[in-house]
Formats: sequence, C-alpha cells, structure tokens
Amino acid sequence: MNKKRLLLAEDDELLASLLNFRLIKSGYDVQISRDGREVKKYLSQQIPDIIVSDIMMPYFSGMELIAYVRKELNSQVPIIIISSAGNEENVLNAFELGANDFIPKPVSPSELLVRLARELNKT
Amino acid sequence: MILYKSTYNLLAITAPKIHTDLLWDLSFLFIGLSVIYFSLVFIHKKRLKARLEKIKLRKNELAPMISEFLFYEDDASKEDKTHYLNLKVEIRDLIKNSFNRKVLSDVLLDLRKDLSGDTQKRLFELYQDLDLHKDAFKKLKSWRWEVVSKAIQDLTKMQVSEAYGFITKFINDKRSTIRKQAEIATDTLKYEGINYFLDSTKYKISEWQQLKLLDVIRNQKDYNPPSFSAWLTSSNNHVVLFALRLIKFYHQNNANASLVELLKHKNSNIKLEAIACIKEFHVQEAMDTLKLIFWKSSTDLKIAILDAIGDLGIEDDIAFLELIDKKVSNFAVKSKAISAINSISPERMLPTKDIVDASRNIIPDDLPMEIKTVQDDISEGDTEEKTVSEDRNSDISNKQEKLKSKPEVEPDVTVFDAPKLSVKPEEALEMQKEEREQQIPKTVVDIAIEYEEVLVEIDIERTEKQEPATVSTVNLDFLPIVMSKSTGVEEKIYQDFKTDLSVVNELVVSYEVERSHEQDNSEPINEFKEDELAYSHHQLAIEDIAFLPIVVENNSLAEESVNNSSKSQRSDALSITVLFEEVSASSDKYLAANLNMNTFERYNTPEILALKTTYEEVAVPHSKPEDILNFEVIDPVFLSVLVKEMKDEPMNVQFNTNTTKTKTDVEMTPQDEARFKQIINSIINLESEEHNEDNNLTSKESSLTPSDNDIDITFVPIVEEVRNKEPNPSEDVPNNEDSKVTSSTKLKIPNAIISDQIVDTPYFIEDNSEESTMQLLDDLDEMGDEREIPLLNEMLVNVKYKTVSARIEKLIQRFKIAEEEVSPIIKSTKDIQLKPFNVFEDLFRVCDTESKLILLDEVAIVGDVGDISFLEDLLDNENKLIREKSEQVLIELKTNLGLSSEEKLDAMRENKSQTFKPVSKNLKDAQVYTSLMEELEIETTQPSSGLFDVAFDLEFSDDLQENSKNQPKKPNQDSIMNQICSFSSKIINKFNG
Repeated sequence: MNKKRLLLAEDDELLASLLNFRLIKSGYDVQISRDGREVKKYLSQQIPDIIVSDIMMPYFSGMELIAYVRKELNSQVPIIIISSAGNEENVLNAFELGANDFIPKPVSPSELLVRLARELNKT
Repeated sequence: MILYKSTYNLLAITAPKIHTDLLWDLSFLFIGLSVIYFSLVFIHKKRLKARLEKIKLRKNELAPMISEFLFYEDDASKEDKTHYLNLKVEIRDLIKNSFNRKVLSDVLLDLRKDLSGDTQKRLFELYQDLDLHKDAFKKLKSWRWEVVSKAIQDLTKMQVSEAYGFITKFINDKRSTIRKQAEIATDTLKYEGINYFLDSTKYKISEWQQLKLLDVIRNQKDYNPPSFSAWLTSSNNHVVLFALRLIKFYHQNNANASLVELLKHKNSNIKLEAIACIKEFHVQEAMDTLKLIFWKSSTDLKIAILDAIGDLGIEDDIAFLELIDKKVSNFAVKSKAISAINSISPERMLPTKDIVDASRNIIPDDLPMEIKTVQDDISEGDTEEKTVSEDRNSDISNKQEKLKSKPEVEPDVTVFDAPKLSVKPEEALEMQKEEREQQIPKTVVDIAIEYEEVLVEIDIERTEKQEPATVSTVNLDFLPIVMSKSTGVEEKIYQDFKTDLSVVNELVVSYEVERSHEQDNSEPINEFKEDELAYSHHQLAIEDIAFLPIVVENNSLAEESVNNSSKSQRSDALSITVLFEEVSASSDKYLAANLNMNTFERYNTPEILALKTTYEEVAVPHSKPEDILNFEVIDPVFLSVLVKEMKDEPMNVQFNTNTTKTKTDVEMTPQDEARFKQIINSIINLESEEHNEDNNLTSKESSLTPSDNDIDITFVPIVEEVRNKEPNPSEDVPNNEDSKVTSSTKLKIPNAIISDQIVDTPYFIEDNSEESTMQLLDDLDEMGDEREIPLLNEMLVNVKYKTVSARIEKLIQRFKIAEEEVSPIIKSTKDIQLKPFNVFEDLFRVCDTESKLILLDEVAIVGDVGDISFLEDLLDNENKLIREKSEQVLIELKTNLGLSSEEKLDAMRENKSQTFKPVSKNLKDAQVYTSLMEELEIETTQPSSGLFDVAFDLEFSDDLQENSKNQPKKPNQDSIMNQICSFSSKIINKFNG
C-alpha cells in the first residue's frame, strides 16, 4: 500500500510536530517544511499528493504557495489551507487562487484527516 | 566674620586643581565599568539565548510525548500501550524538574490555541493529569499582580474547574487586572459563574469588560442563560446596565414592569438601555412613562424616547409629538419628533423647508398640455390627471392647513415675501403680463422663478425712479393675482389666504419702515409709517423732545412749524418727526432767529415748568420775576482766570492788602465787574431772604445787620488775613446799603472768588480787633520772651486803641527787663565755641575698627580743614592702629590742603589732649562696654590679631594710599569696592602662601 505523500508547510513547530505525529499515525508520508523556501525547494524536486499549508509563513506565504503550484508548476495537487486568519477575505482569496479546502485554526486533527481523505478521494 | 564667609565662598568658586593621574584613573574606571556592563549584557544575552535553545530542545523532546498522550487510543496495540506507559513514567520524571514543568505547561498552553475538538479536551485532561494546574494554584497566592493574573489566565485556558472556588475570591479584588481576569474566569469555568459575578461584584464593569464577558457567555456551548431581570434590582448600576444588555441580547421579555420602572432611573445609560429594551420588546405600557420622562431628559434621551414612541406609538400619540415639535427648539429633537409622527402616520408631516409657494403661480392658458405634464411631475405617483385649478386649489388648501396647524412656520413665509411688499399691484400685474407675453414658461417651476425675477426688477426700477409710494399702495393688494379663470372658490381661498397673512403684513411693515429710514428719507410717509410713528409718539412726550434742535425742510415751513408748535401743543408727533427727519442745512435764518429768542420763552412750556429737578431749589417764589430775568450766564473765562490768580498767589496778607492791579484786574473789564457784583448781590439777597425765612427770624434787624454769630466759619481765614490789614478809616465807613450788601456777601461767598476788589474791610473785624489783639497780647505775656519785642514794636505802631498800645508797651518793658537779666548768661554761652559737626566723627562712633580704618582712608581722600581737628582727636585714640592711621592721614590731609606747619599741629594736639579724657578712663569705659556686650551676648569687633590682620592692615592701606594719590577725587563707593576686592585677593594670597 502506497503511502500518500503529504507536504505540511507549517512554521509552528509544536503544531507541525503534533500534526506530523497524527498524520504519520494515519498512514501519510509527511514532509514538514518550516518556511516558504523549504516548500519551494521541495516542490522543485517533487510534487506531493496533497499539500497542507499555513497562510502565514516566512519567506513564502500560503497564498503565494497556491499561486506557485497552480501557475508556475501548473499542478492540480490538492491544497488544504490551515490558518488562524480565517476571515472571509483570506478564505475567498485562497479559493480563488486554487485552494481545495480551508480549515481555520484551532484545528482538530481528526477533522483534518477527514478532509484530507476526502480531497484525496476526489483525485 | 562676614568677610571671612564671603572669602570662603569666593574660594569655592575657583576651579579645583585636579591631578592628571586622577583623571586617568577616572577614565580607566569608566572604561572598566563600561566593559563590565557590556560584558554582562553579552553574557545575559548568551544565557537567554541558551535558555531559549534549551526550551526549544525541551519542547522538541516533549512534543512527541505530548502527541503520544494526546492521540493515544484505547484500542491500541500492546506495544503502543507499553510505549504509552513508558512515556508516562518518563514524563513524570521530567516534570519533577521545575524547568521541565514550566516548558511542558507552556507547550500545552501553546497547543491549546491551535487545537480544537477532542484533542483539545485531551490536552486539558493531560494538563490536569500532570498536576500542572497545581503550579497555577500556587501562583494565585503570589503578591505580584501579574503572577496572579497569569495563573488565573492559565487555569481559565486549561479549563480547570477546580480553580473556580479560588478564582471567585478575586472578583472584588482591588487590583483591576486581577479582578477583570477573575470575572472572565468565573464566567468561563462554570455556567453559573455569571450569576455569582453579577451577585457579588461591587466594582464598575467597563464597556470593554462587558463585551468580553458577553463574548465568553455567548461562546459557551449548551449555555442556558438565567433570567437576567433578577439583576435589574441590583444596587450596582453597572450590573443593572449589563443585565439590561444581556436581557436585550437573549431577548428576555419577562421584565416589562422593571423596564418601565427603569425609565425613571437617574442614570441616563440605564435609561437609554431600558428604552432600547422597551423598543426591542414593544412594551406598550411604557408609553405614558416615556412621555412623562421626556421633558426632563437630555437630548440623547429625548431622541431615544421619540424613536421608541415612533415605533410603539399610535395615532393618539401624534398630539404629543406635535407638541414636542412646537415646544422644543432643538433641531435634532424636533426632527425626530416629526420623524416619529411620520413613522406613526406616514406622510402626515410634509416638507416645509425651502418649499416655494407655487399656489399663486399663473399658468398660461395657451399651454394646457405642458402644464398637465408639469403637474404630473409635481404630484409624484399621482397618476390621475387633474386640471390646473384643481391642483392649485389643493395646494392652497394644503397651505392653509399648514398655516393653521403650524403658525410658527409663518416667519419663513414672511421672509420670503417681505422684499416684494412695496410693489404696486398694478405694476406687478402689468409686468407679469408683459413677461407672460414675452416668454412662455415651460414648467410651473419656471413660472415661479420668472415671477420672482420680475418682482426683483420691479423693486429695482422703483428704487431708481424714487417714486413716492402712497400710503394706499402698500397694502395686501400687491399680492400675486391669479389670472386664470376665476371662480367663486378661488376668490374665497384668496381672501382666506390674505387674512392668514396678516401676521406677514405686520412684519413686512416694520421692515419697510426700517428700510425707508435707512435708504430713502425723502420718501413720503405711508400709513405704516404713521402707525410706527404713532407708536413712538406714545413712547415720547412733547417735553422729552422739546430740547431737540428744530430742523426744517425749508425756511417757510420751519417758521410755520415753529409758530404752530409755540402756539399750540400738538399731540400729533408726526409733524415733529417730519421736521426731525428732513434736515436742511439752509435754515440759517431760522436758526439765527431761534438763537435770538428769549431763553425762557423758548423753553417756557408747561412741561418744562412741570419738570422735577434734583437741584437745590432757588427761592423763586420769593423773588421777583425781574430778578430771574436778570440772571445772566457768567463767563467761564472770567471765573477761571480768577481762580487761577488765586492759585498763583497764596492768600496772605500781602495779597489781600495789595492795592495794585493784578492780572485779574487787567482782564476783568468794568462791565464784567459790575455784572458780577450784580449777580452776587442778587444771589445774596435771595440767600438772605431764604435764610431769614428758614430760621423764622423774629427780629428784622438780625436779617439786615448780621452779627458775629452770623459769621460763617469759612470766613475765619479771611478774617485773620484782613485783621492784619492796615485799617483805613475811609473804607471803614461805607454807606448803609453797600455795607449791608457787602456784609451779606461775606456770608456765603466762597473764599476762592473773593478778591480785594469785592471784599471791603468788614467793620465787624474792627469791632473785634481790640479784643483779639488783647487776647494775643495775653498769650504773648504768658508764653513770650524778649524775642517778641520786634513784633510788639510793630503792633505798637499799627495799633489804634490806647488800651492795646498801653498793654503792648507794658509787655515790651517786661521783656526788655528780662532780656537784660539774661544777657550776661547768653554772652558767656556765646563765648563757648561749639565744636563743628563732622560727618566722619559721627560715623566713627558707630563703626568697628576695620570700618574706622576705611573711614580714615576716606578722610585722607575727601577730607578738608574741618576734619583736621577730628583727626587730631584720634591721635589720642586707645587703639594703636587708629592712632597711627589717623596720624598718617592727618599728615596726608595737611599735605593735600597745604597746611604743613608742624608747630601749629603740635600746639593743637597739646590743646586737644587737655580737653579729652585720660586714656586710662577710656580703657575703663571700654572694659565696662565689653562686659555689657558680653552680658547681652552681642559680638563685638575685637581687635584683630594674627596673620590675617597684619596682612590686611599693612598691604591694604598701602594700596589704598596709592589709589588715593592717583585718584584723589574718586567717589567713596568705588574706593570701598576696591578695598573689598583687594582685601579678598590678599586673603587668597595668604592662603596660597
């Protein structure tokens, strides 16, 4: 059984570690990136099955990541945005740029798993 | 002592000598301190960084462990369960360390904000399982407010329900931060927390805090809010206010009675919130209370009440709102009242501001179709086609209704129509017809605008032509006349409208009158002016304006008017006003004639005579009319000159006895003198008659020949002065008439206006002179001595009474005898040469030794021959320094004055040594003086000794001598200053070795 490759772009180490633990436990191959540069570097090498990203990150925001993936990489990989800045403007922006889902913080790991599974099933 | 202190101060001012080594030491010290400071900062930063790194590492270690705990599942495999247990043991070991406990607590708190759902609950459980909340409990006991606040916050975040009991204690804490944190914690930790908080809080709940508490409550899941009406009876107004807001938020409409009662609360915020609740819950029973509290409420409250009435009100409440519209002057309240009326009954109040009255607009007959279109435009939404007359009728009827219902709106209408009232109706109609022929208006609005323009042009034309408008032209007939087909209904409406504008006419009349005064004085009076002037006539009586100069339009009219006014008192003030109004500068003839009129004839009106005066009443009834007519105005120049003369020369004997013509005499013409005398005489006659009547004199002689008792006290100086005057028999025997008058004159005439020309020597002074002279001689006899002999001789020459002269001779003899007896004694005393006054000697007695030395230096500089004796006296002074100094100064002074005869000096010294007391006695006195001063604890100037004094005396005097030689005429103050300066420098030199 192939593990789904998941890119977790989150600058909060604790949350990243927690989600990493939970995602690994749920059978995902998780790659954690702390900032936008690492994300770009990883994406230049390979495209994951799904991307979970925060909006506010150093060097490269979640919105820029969506645009980069959709326009430059021309990839339709599912992108789920996790952000504490869950206002309407950000959500709409994210969806306009090509995000597949938006989960406001605080996030429930269980909910995240459900959404991940749904997005992966779509593809 | 003072000198020493001042010297000490001067030393303190001088720059201190600091060794270079000390400077270097200080530099090294500061460099060392700065190095230590920066090192400490660097070390601290390093330690902080290391600590952060350590925390980061610890967090990284703890994060997987926490994740294991958080995502542990009961259905895990045995391996997972074993791993979980091992982790639990491991973490328990870790948290034994306070640092690890703190890091773990921080990690859990950080994760709490990012996690939700079941994971969050597990997080809370883990926090309590690891007994991390006990650390927070410990912190609650801290005296530091920030620690306590942080502990409450942690316990609240981690949902430690056990902490509820501990945290509620802080609800009434005096520290606001802790109190606010406790309030939020109480509400968060338990559902009933809000109840406890509202029950127990005694402090103010800020608006922000209320919002936060509301946010806490509304975010609680499955929260069943209590009935907040229970707290409407709280003694804390903030609780009541918060309860009202909660009631409104949770729509608890079970407290209508309380809400109505709270409308009467003192607190305006509570009232506002209660009104909002009443509006929200549609509490109809609050209407009466709302109306009741309206009048004494603030503007904000009034608006809120009107808003509520607008929502809750019915047709019956419109009367109240209309009353508000009429009574209240505040624009916002008024607008809100109208808004409320329209809210209850839509379209009841129509716009009135800046609405042009289109009811009188003339609609052209040849454009019926276009007008219909216009009417469609005006009556928005009204699809029915109406005729023009019908629409206008409706407009007029609306207007009438407005005028009847809102009379206070009428001023606006008058303002609009006011400038047009001076237009003749015929002219207006003609112009309107012309305009109508020239231009065909397209819309009713155009018609209105053009109509106004025409009126303005008419005004301008009339002003340019200066046409005298007759009284009959200014009436209501000028109002726009409808040229359309007139019906009986229209005429009736027009008449009614005219009647309604009566108030307008009154206002316009006042405007017209004012304008005619300002702009066009030559305009004939219309009937409105007459009304206005008639009003002024009631205000002003004839006597009020009688003093005004009469100005006429032309001579003939003026004369006629004057004649008329003098013959009969016209009650009509209109003619007077016309004369006043129309000023003519060419009426010189009349003015000249007017000036020549008799003064009293000119003002001899009954009103003038009836005037009440506040002045002293002149006894006119007792005087003859001719006397009054003889009064003439005294030339002010005449009096002023006289007064000036009196000021210039004091009132003394010489002045009064001076027979030569003074300046006053020169300027006073004989006619003036005669007139003045006549005036004075007449006044005196009146005064004496009045005086006689007032005192009810029984004797006729007393009124004619005044006695000494009648002499006014103001005459005393004059009497005294005149007494010394040389008696002149010819003047002493005046004729009877003159003497009476003159004596009477002396009674009341002020001294200032009495000159030698009008003041004759009074005979009663002569009667009195013997007695007074005798009295004077008695005084001299009693208190005088030989020095009075010259005076007595003089008196002897002047006196004419034998008894007096005998007395004077007797006194002279007595004083001469006494003088002969005393003369030997005087001679002997005259032989004694008094010691001349010497200023230095006087100062010498009161100053100390230093000052004496300084004074001696000054004697050397500014002394003269008179100071030599003083210096010679000092040669025998007990103080050696003073003796030496005085000797030195004496030689110097003599050298300066050219007196170098040593023999003379020695001889004088010998003489002086005999007159002065022995030195031994002086020394004894000095001892007594010293002991006395010691008893009184007064510091005396002790003879200086030691290094200080020696240097001072020697060098100071030398310098001063040099200075005195160089600058012999230098002022004393400069030399003293030089001495002080040099003295201080000498002291400094002494200290510096």
